[in-house]
Amino acid sequence: MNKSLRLRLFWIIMLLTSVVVLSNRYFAQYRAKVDVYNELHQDMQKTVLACSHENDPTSLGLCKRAFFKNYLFNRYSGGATLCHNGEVVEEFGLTQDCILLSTHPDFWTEKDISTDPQVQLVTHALEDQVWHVARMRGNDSIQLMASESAIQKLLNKLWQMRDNQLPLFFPILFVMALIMAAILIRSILNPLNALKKSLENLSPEKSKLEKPIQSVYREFEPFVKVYNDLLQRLDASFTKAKRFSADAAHELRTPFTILRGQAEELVADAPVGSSLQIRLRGMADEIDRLIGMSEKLLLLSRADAHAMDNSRTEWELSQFMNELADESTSYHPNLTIRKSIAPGVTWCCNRGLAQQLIHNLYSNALKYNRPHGWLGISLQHTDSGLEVRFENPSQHIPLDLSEKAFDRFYRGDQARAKSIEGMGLGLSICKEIVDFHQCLLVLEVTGMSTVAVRLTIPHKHIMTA
Amino acid sequence: MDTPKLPQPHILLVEDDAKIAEFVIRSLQKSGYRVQHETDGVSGLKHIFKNNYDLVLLDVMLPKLNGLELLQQLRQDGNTTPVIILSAKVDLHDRLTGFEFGADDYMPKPFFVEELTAKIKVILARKQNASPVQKLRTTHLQLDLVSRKAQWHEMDAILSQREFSLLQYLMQTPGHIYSRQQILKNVWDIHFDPETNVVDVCVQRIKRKLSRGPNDHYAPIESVRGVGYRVQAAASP
Repeated sequence: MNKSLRLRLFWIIMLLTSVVVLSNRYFAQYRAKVDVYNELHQDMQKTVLACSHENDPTSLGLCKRAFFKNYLFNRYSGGATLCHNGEVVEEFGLTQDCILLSTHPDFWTEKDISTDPQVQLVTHALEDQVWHVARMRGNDSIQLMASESAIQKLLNKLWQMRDNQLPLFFPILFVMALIMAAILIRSILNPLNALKKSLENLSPEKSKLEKPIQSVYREFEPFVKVYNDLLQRLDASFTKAKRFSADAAHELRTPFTILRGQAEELVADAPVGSSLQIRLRGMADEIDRLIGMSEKLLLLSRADAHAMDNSRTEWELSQFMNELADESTSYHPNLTIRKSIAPGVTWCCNRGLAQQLIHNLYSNALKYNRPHGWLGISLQHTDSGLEVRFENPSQHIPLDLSEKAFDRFYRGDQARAKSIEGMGLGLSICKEIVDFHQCLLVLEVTGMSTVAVRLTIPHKHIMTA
Repeated sequence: MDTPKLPQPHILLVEDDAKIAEFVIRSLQKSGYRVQHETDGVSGLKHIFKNNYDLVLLDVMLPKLNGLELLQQLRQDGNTTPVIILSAKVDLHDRLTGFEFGADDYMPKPFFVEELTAKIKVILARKQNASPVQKLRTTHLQLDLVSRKAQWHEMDAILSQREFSLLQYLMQTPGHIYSRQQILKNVWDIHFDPETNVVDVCVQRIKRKLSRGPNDHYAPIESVRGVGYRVQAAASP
């Protein structure tokens, strides 16, 4: 089964949407973290500067206000301490850490990352903790320190809050992706659908478009141009083929009429039973064979050109098949005839072609039968339509019979074919007639020694008395 | 045979192909018809209006005036001369068009001239309002078309539908040899090569049914080896 472009486009769009959403999630998370640290550092610098302007460093009023006002930390996050001369002045969740700064002077040897020249700001790892500390350059009475784990805790809290929204967010995202996919697929397929609609109106009988296909989008213009050119060539080719079959019919039948007429005249004029008459009869028979072959080839060429005679009449199929069965009983006494023919069936068809089809199938079942074999002839109603079936045992059935039986000039087992008249066109003609009547023809080899040909005629073309 | 005697029916053949015209004329003349030949539609129409023909054989693709147009003008003028169309167009649609334009019969090319002659006979008989033929006869063979019985000398036989049709076909022109192909076409209505020997089997059956005994070597149907079959015009004992 062919893949669905619509489905493929849908999956691509869904995949791209997922990639975009996930990338956005991790990229946004990374950027938010960077921004939070920048903000933290700015706030730490502002607080330290505010503390350095205090007239009364002992009260530290402005300094504390700045700590509360500017600082990113609050009681929800914790993790920050304002130190004055090694003592804790204010804190959010840290009490004893000011001692760290006095006991570890190597804090201030780290790289200064402050953007303000008056402030020294460093990060330092100590016992599985990373600390961000700030002070006035050259004055370490006021020091500010913040724990990175507390910041991370705050961020994790934020990510958790965001993730808590996922059950609500995902269905919305999915619906939005679906809508987006539908809109995109529609936009992509619309020009193709327009092309399809134009091309659907084409048929071998009507291979010329009333007006060339137009493209709404310039990206499709080369594609449409190729199609229009192709259609023009197709139309020219069909017109030529139709003209050929019509011309060939006339041009061949006229000389054949002369040949046959003159040959029959010569046969009649020759002394009865003379070798001359026999030779002339042989010649006339060959002319008849030639006429038969040319009619077959002409029929195939008309089928190729879709120029077969479309006249339909009602034909009593049951009656014809009964006649065939009776005839085979009468003229082929060595064969056992198994007949099962539904009565009163009429087929609305091209009578001449349909008769040729049924007779070809019947003749094949006789020609390729075993000596003292049997012939199954049946006409039965089935769910899919009316089924005509010819079945016969056969010898030396080629392995590729089912696939190649309808190929032109296919004669199966060459050694055996030589002893049987024909040119390997019978079944290919049958196939063309079947296609023309919108029927189905299947050849099956059953049990390695029986060939069954099944013709299914749609109900709409059948009438039952 | 019960065929009514006609005073040399006069037939016009409008056919642009000289070779077709040649053998058709020869065959019809042998069968006792007077034939005039015209090569284009205009002169054909002119002659039909001028002369009183018993029948017209009309090709379709004619120079100057198409055969169908000729026929249309003829019928519009009220002329009822029987017309048989001879055409290379064999589709049902073409044949129906021919009949719609007023043709009495349609012979698709390539045709057997014997079949054409048989059609002419039937149409002329119809034109003459002759009573339908009841029996076909040769010297010792008689075929009753009503009871469908065959009688060969004193021997009566009941024939099957196909055997009857075959004998009837052969008896239309006693003495003429018909090939298997012609018989298949006219008796079995098979217009293609069915690649079967039903004709030979059917002839053998008729011969058996009309046989007067194991030592009877004379049969009403003669197999001309390598040529075909015929009913003898003047049969032996």
